[in-house]
Amino acid sequence: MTGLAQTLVGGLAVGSVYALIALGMSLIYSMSRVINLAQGAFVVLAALTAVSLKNALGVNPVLLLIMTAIIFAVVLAVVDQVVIRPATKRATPERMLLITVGLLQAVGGFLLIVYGNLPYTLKAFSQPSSVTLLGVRVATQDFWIFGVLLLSVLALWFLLQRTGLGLTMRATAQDPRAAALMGVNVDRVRLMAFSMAGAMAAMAGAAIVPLTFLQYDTVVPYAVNGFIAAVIGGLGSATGALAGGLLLGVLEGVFSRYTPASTAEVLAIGVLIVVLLVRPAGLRGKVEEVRR
Amino acid sequence: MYRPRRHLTRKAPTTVGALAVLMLASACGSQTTSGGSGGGDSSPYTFGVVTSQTGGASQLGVGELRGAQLAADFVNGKGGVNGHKIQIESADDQSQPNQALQQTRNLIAKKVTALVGPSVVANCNAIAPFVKDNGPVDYCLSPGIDASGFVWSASAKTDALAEETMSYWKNKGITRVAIINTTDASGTDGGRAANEAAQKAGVTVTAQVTYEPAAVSATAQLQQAMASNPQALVVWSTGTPVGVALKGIQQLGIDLPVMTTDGNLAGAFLERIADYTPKTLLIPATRDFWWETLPKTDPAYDLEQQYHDAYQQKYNEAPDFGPGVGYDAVLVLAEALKHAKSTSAADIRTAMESIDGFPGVVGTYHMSPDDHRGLTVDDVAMVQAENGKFTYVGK
Repeated sequence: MTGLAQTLVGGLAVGSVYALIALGMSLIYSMSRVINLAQGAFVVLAALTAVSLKNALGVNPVLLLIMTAIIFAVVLAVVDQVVIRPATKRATPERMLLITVGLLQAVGGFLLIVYGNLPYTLKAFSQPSSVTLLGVRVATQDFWIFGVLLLSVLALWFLLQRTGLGLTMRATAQDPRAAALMGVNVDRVRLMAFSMAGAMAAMAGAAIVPLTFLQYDTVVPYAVNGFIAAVIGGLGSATGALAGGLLLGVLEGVFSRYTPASTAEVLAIGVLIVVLLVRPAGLRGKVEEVRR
Repeated sequence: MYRPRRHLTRKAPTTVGALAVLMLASACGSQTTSGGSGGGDSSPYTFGVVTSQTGGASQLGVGELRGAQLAADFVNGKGGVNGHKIQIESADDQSQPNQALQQTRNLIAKKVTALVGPSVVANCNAIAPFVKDNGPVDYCLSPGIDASGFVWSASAKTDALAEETMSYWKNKGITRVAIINTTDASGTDGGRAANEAAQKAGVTVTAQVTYEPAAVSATAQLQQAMASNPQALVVWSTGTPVGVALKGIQQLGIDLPVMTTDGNLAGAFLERIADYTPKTLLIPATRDFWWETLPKTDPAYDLEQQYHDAYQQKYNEAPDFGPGVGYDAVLVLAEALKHAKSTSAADIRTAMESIDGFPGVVGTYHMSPDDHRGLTVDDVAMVQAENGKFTYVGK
């Protein structure tokens, strides 16, 4: 029982990162109808940037999270202005998917050139690196990851539900053309969505890197799992992204605990396919969008 | 008539451009790094060295090429082979099997005497069918292939590494081990070898679990392994996945001896895991990592001393896993050429198969028509990773 509890905590920590990627993807999709497959790659890029910042400046964890969040809010805003925005004016949604795959590969290539092919990590933000709670050994870094997810969800909820900007964003998400006709600067709203997605990817990357080793070729697993989480939750739904990410992380952890790794992955994806068969729009997606 | 002309005019720069790019790529892809005159009795023997200079496997490939070049310098410094200098024609396979095959074709077209490389098992397997039946002789630098025909394989076999580990542990009173390996080809092969070696040594495998090479965490699998109450852990993988497992071992507070594979015998790897190195991290290693324990009268001692000093002097660092296999590949091929009747692939192959008791830096080679590797468990000993170095702990 203790072992299972330990597995669940580990699965929730990894799932929190998937959830943050899925949240960013969903936010961007809502505002622009672009599925940004490169979102997971920015998590790894942010993680390695955090390693560089920590090694160069020796900043404390909170400052490290804030710095990487600001940097990647700007980076994703630039990506939107330089790549996504011009491309959406010319390319169909299918080709936009290809462009974001290209972006994913470009980030991986950039990491290989700048950081080489060695793995990078950081020490745990808090010491001791693990504690025992009710007989369950938990990495203290897990609490940082849960905290980052909670903070991101609360901030997003407050922004969307309690501010004028949030109202504008929700209107844009519902119907970008109608919002534009009502005088909303849709490009600006989308820019903000990209910035927020960048900040979330950055905090996810900085928080997960002390738990693992990351390098240039780890961009793909994050991109794929983040995308799966977003689709399972229902693209465009924040609560769905949260649920999809956590569910995927827990399923991977539990199946890995009791079955060989390759079987575990197939089983986890199999369960999620069943979810999609029962609810084609995902856990929290809108059915009419799927039919359309 | 206008249209075709315009078509030609538009296409011509593109075609010329493409040709220029191809020529440039070809020029960049291979490079001769040691001069030599062509023609005549003293024309050099050219070894085509295909390694991963860029991409994921460059951690191995860069050192391998350095080792090969160092060995060529060593042989040439002694007058070459039967009066012929050795020339290295290097090519970068970019860690991609298709590029390995492409670069191999290019080198064969240039009529190289023999091939050295590629660096990793997938790339060796990509070129093996191309050279296996008709040559030229290829000395693959990965230990992971079953070498036959005109193909040789470097370093000690996976089974020998596993046997040495289990035998060492058995001697230390460890009789219950859990194996955790990645699901890729080398991890799966290592898991199998460790399992078989344990049975052979009379060690019980309490659990065997797997994890994906790209996994972010291996704690669930480690918990599963620990539930079987082992006395030691085998982590069979190379590079990042081992780091992930070692982090999990630390997070779970596991205090058991851990063994991992020789692919991790690199200073850069030790630096990365410095904060997470288990109290006892053992690696089965070939002789280039424990040569200082040899008696000075051993026939290999002087060669090892010369190799390590020359590498340190030229590259300002100690050699790790890569350079040794590259160095020995050139030495062994040079030795075969010394005794071959000609430079034909068949004669070089026959001479290679006759090599017996030839000392290299990785081990002493005993080749035969059935053994295209020539190293055994006798060439392997256990080293321990501690304080950023590998220390010999015994056989």
